Amino acid sequence: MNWTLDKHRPLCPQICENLCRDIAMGVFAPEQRLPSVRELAAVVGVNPNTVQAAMNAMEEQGILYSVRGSGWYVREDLTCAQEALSRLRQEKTAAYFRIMETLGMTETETKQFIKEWDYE
Amino acid sequence: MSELLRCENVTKRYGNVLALDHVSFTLESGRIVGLLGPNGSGKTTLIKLINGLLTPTEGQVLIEGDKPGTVTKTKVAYLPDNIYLNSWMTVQQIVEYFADFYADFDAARAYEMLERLGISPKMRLKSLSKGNKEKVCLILVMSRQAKLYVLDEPIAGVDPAARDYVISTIINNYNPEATVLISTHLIADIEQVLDEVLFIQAGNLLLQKTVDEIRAENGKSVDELFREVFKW
Amino acid sequence: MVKKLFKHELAFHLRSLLLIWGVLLGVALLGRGIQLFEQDSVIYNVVSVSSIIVYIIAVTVCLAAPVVLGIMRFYKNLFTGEGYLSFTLPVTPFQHIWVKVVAVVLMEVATLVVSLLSLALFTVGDVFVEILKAAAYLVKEVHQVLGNHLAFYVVEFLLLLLLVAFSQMLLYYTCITVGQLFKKNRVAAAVGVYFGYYFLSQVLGTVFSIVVAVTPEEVWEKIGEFIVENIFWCVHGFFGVFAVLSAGMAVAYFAISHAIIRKRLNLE
Repeated sequence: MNWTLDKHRPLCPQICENLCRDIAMGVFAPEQRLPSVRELAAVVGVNPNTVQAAMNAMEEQGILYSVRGSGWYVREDLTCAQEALSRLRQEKTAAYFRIMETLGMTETETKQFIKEWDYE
Repeated sequence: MSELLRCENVTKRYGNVLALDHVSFTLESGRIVGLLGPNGSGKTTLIKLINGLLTPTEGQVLIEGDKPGTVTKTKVAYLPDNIYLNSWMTVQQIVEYFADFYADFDAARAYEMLERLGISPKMRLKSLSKGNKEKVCLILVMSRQAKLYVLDEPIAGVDPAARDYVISTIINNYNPEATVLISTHLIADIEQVLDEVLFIQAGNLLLQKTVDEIRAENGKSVDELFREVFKW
Repeated sequence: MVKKLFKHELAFHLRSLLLIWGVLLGVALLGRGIQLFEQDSVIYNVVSVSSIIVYIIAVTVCLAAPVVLGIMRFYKNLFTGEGYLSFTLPVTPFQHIWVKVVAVVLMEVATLVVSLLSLALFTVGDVFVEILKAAAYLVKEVHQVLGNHLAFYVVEFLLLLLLVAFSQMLLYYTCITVGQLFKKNRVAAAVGVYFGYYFLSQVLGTVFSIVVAVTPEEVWEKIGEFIVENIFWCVHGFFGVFAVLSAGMAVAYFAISHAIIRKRLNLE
């Protein structure tokens, strides 16, 4: 698990984002049990309380469910996770366009730039 | 969430030097709290007062309503900033020492953590490297099921790998009912683990906030805010 | 808790004392061995005299060891780095001081027993029999004079010795603890406190002798007559007064150390 967290923003939503992405992209399969809060916290290097808060938030969003005494599971239905992922994609893309704007490119110019971009 | 630690107007004077100046705050249970401040700001003084190793000149420290004494000592696990163990003792003797005196000490867990580090119980403390001695101290403290853990500079003066070890040991042994108070001046390394911070300078408490408040309100990392507050 | 504290305290002392006792018994045995080769030569005389000197030194060191260890242990275990652990154990200052002083006195008694044993080893054989005979003779003679008082004197003397051992150790503890009230050079301060106290007691002694000197002679003659008439009971009284005095001082020393640790503890 290779998550990079931005210390300038609250950590809890960032953990949600990362988990949503991993679920929507199949790192964690439907009905799979997630690592325990403590394990996740230790791997990511954050406070277990923060991970717990992120799990609770994702339960409310309908992405996870908890089983008492067992832990957190991914819901069968991935719609919510996928919605979260596409929201994330949109946000990141919008952020990219804003950065390019500061570098003197309009939206159209940026789109053109991407089209011609030769990714090695 | 209930109140665990209360400091009321805690003041400590060493002769003419004012090490702490009417410091008041409370900590709730279930938090990981950073006690942040430059060297000589009064962090260690505050921690020693919480553990009853110093007597306040004025004010009082209460742990679940009790002043530091035998009752609070069964609930508080303390990691001093220096190595304080008898160097002639073996690792096993010191583990047994802790097990004898602290009812909440889990010897099996301590041995397990020691084994993972490759430290044999038969080794004498003086034969261990400085880094390993510090890890043994941390393991002893974190093997207790305390209500309040007070860790004085656990990551100062250790290499980055050991720093990761210290942080993951704290997280792995953290019990959500307990509160961990960590003093440090190396904030960047530890800020992701914190719920809440206390900034302390020249014996005064400058601010007490949750880290998410700091990030959301200022769009700054705790480290950046720290550098801004403590300009020199 | 007290039991565990005591266990660890004894473990600390025995760690060094077992070795010291062993050496003393070894020296005694060696000295006795040398005597087996008795002959009229310069070399033998030099060797046997040196073995006696070495034995006397060993006994002296051995008898001093528990006191020195006790003083070091109190200081190191409570007021140096180790104090960080000692004072965060769920143990009261009262228990700390009490356990420490009892352990030291116990070690002093044990050391005394070992020293007597070493004397027996050093002299085992004809000399030992002679010593026993002389002792038996002495007891018999003294018993004829003192009667049943003798047994009481012995018991009273031993009890007094025990009380003095307690109060002396507690005096050292008090000096160390009072030294902790200073901001710097706390060990030097403790030594200073000890000598200051010593000086004060000398002054008191001098004042007492002045009082004695200025008391008219007739008073002393009366007192002297009274003592001579009631000599046996006066000795009991002497032991009693000393015992009360030692016990009182021990309690005072204990109270001072305890109050300072409880109310004024400031570890560096």
